[in-house]
Amino acid sequence: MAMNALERKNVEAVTAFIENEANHGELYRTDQFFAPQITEAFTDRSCAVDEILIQGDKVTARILITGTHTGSFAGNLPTGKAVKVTQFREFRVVDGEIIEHRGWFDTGTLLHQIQAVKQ
Amino acid sequence: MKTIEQMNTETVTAFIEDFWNRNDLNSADQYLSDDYQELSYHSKEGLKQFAANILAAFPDKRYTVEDIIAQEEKVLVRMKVKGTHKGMFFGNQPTGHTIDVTLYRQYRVFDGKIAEHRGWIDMVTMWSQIRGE
Repeated sequence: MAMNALERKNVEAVTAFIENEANHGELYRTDQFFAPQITEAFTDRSCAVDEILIQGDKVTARILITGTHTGSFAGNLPTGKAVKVTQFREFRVVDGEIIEHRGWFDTGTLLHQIQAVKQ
Repeated sequence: MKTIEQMNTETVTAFIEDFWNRNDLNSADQYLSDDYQELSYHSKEGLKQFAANILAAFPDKRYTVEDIIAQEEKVLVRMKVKGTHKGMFFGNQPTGHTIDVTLYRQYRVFDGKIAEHRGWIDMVTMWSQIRGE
């Protein structure tokens, strides 16, 4: 079904949240054990929304973070390479207001970019 | 009357159960469209080969769907895979350690057939669990 007006409002709230740099500290937080290393290992970061899905009060964004691998990450020494990291962030949005959200980093494609040899 | 999202969600959950949990690899021929685009394992055959490799490495593997969001032809699934490392995995000898890893899979469904798939998985957590860290 095509998006209705309320769904469009909820998508706009999520897009605005992600695009606001003041929220980027929160955006790099997930409950994955390595999450605190992300901002230390990858610098010169920028965020862009790749895709957004909405169904009712659920809005999930696929976010593409670009950065430079300048610090150790999960045992991988800095390579100086430009990397792209995918994050999914699931939001619950009621009437244009974000109630809660949780994020998750895809490390499968990230490891491929920073490992010299396949494990 | 079911919405297109409900029907597509049912197709995807049935495929996950038959293909990834019941390990009926030939069920792919029934669920996937003739022009299926596989964006993570190269091809339909690549998908079957990957599933066979994962089954050999983790014979008791079990996928649990935790959340699904569907919009029009798109279905995005968050799930967990749990299993015991009992066979070779990317050149690594079996360790007997258990894994419990989150992954996402996104599908596009047209006329009841899955026409596209792409997957994302937390390999840092998975390698850490395989090593028993």
